Amino acid sequence: MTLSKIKEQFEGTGQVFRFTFLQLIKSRSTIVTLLITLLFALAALPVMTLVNGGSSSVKQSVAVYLDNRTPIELPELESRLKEALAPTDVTLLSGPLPKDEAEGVGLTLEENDDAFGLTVSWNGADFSDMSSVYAIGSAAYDCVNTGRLRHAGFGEKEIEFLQKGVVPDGLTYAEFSEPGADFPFSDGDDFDSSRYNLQIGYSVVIMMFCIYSVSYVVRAVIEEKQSKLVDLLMVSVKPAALLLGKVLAALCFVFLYMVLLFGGMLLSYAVSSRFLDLSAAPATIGTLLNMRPDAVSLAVIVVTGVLGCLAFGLLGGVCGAGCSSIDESSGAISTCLLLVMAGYMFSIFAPMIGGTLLRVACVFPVLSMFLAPLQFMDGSIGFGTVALSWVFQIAGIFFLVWLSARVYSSLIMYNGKRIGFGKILAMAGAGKEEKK
Amino acid sequence: MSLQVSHLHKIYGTRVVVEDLSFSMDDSGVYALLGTNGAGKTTSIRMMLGMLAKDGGEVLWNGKPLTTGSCNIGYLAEERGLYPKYGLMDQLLYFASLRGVGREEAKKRIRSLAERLEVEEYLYPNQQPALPENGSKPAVRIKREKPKLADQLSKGNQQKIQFMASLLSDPELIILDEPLSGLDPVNTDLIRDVIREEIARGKYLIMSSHQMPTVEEFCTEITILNRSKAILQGNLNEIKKSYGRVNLHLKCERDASALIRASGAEITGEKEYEYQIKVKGERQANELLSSLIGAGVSVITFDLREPSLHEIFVEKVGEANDALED
Repeated sequence: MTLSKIKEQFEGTGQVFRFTFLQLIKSRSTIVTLLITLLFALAALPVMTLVNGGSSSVKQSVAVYLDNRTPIELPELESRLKEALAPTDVTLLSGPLPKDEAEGVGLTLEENDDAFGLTVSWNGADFSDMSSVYAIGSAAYDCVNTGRLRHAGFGEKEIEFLQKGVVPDGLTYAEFSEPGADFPFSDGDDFDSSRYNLQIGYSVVIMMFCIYSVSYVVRAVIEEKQSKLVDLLMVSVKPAALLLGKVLAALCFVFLYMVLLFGGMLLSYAVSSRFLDLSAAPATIGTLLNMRPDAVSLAVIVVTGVLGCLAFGLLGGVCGAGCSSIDESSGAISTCLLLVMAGYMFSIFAPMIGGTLLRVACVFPVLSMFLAPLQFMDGSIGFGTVALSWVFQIAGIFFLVWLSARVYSSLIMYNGKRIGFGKILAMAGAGKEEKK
Repeated sequence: MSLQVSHLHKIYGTRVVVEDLSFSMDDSGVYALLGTNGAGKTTSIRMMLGMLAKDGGEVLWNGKPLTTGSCNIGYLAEERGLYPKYGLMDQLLYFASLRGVGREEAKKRIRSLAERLEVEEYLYPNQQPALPENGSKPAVRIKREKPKLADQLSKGNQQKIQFMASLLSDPELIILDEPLSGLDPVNTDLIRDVIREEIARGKYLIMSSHQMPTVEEFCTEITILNRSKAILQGNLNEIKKSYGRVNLHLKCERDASALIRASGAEITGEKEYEYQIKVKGERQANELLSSLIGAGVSVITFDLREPSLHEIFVEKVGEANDALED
């Protein structure tokens, strides 16, 4: 097929895109949906924080009273407390917590017969943020452990040696005898909950993007068939242009939707952080909002996401063309939904497994859009792997374009029981048309 | 300019839906593609327009394959459709843009066609009435209305909008599939006027219709399809002449049925001394007239004419079906 023929196939894509997109955003129901999305985005973070027990005000500073009834010295306690409670400032004072202190925390260290007792007490009804209490207690605990070893006469090197943890691990003999070799399901890294939260958050966003794109494309295609405009349109524009214009319009609309959603959440985060202690916010959202990708990583995220959603949009368009009424749309959407869910579920579990399986998955179509960008940001895969995943994604898109060129024109003129994707593939292979 | 359709063929499974259809248009005018329901008219049109793959044959415009690139085509499909929830003007501008018509040019053409088809109130709902000549303000304040959506129009008005859409690009070849079906007499006349104007401008039109009077009014060449095959083709006048003047419309002052039957003519319709008669030719008709006069029957109307297209169609299709059954 020459370049001019290819260009001819896509003539009119711009007009289809412009019309479909404008009609999407002009629709009253769309405007209402976007407004509700924005309101939801603005309200979600503060509401979830408050529901999770987040306090309604962020303390600027807190006084911690250390009542040390032992001979153990705790010189690093203040710095550890500042680190644990950041951005709240900490002032460490000696003595018991005064009764008339409006807000403050008391740390009492005493030696009993068989143990050291470390008690955390607090004043002020507002100071009920248990995460801060735990942080204070945990920092004090570590300092006491170090302090008593120092008091017992151990030097800093000896203390460091004694405080090294013991990490149990189980390996097969092969793994044990060939250290450094890459084995499936073996990843020497510890499980990192923040990375996991980021993966979940990112996968949810991609899943939403794909599902919305597919839904809009399927509905747009079926509505056009139902409106019986197909004959008129087919005289004016090629089927490939008709489908691609719709897919691009749906992608842009969903992108606008996501920008409103995340822009709203970012704005909410910026405003809420002045008035709320957001440490109680759901970890996934917090991790996602704190993501700071560099330019290259951002480009990887955008390109991978766009290629993936474009592929799903095209697939949705072809499946939608096999339907004759909006009642059949769920069948068409579910075909795409299965693939999206497969990618999502795999992306949740694959990082835990790691190794070669993860690296292969980062290249595989459908899975790569969920995995590759974050693995790249994490340093687990290089840009070469990402580029290879794009090659596979583009190949998938070309396959879908070929498929739609073979079957779209006969599918959009078909009226009858829904044609499933398997039969569509068979039609493309045989070059058959379906009788109207 | 010329259109050549040669040996068009289409099979679905083992069923032939269009068999070896050929015709040509060497001059501007209207070509009628007629046929019974399911005869293959719409399938033939779709093959011509490239919407359906052909199993055989070719369609040439000026000697080159007919495509939307080689020919500016306007098409009014049998199945009517507009986007139900989108504005009418938006849709028309969209269709025009798909045909490569610029926005301003499209607006002018829409305005012109809207005036001709009397649908301005739907496309320009906030058009202010002309001011009184004495310069005073209008007595009635016009309430600003929202642009109409397609599903707010009657079926006939939607059809007029779609007809407009088929003409927006000022096409060279216009294909109209049942352009007048479902229209009231007033709207039928409006569309017929526009069709006449397009013919006068030298356009090539292909019309598929069941309304024989309309076809007779506009068309010079016809093809009648029955069960995928062309059973009659040619110039309409020539076809009628070949049948001869065999239809006699007779009105008398009293009952003349006995005399008519005695002459050997066949009465095909009768209503209160008014008879539709089939004769073998002018000679038999004249002999009948002589016998009526000789019997003292006063003849009020004696009209000998060629068969109508409707009659030819029914006869030809009937013959074809009888042949198939045999």
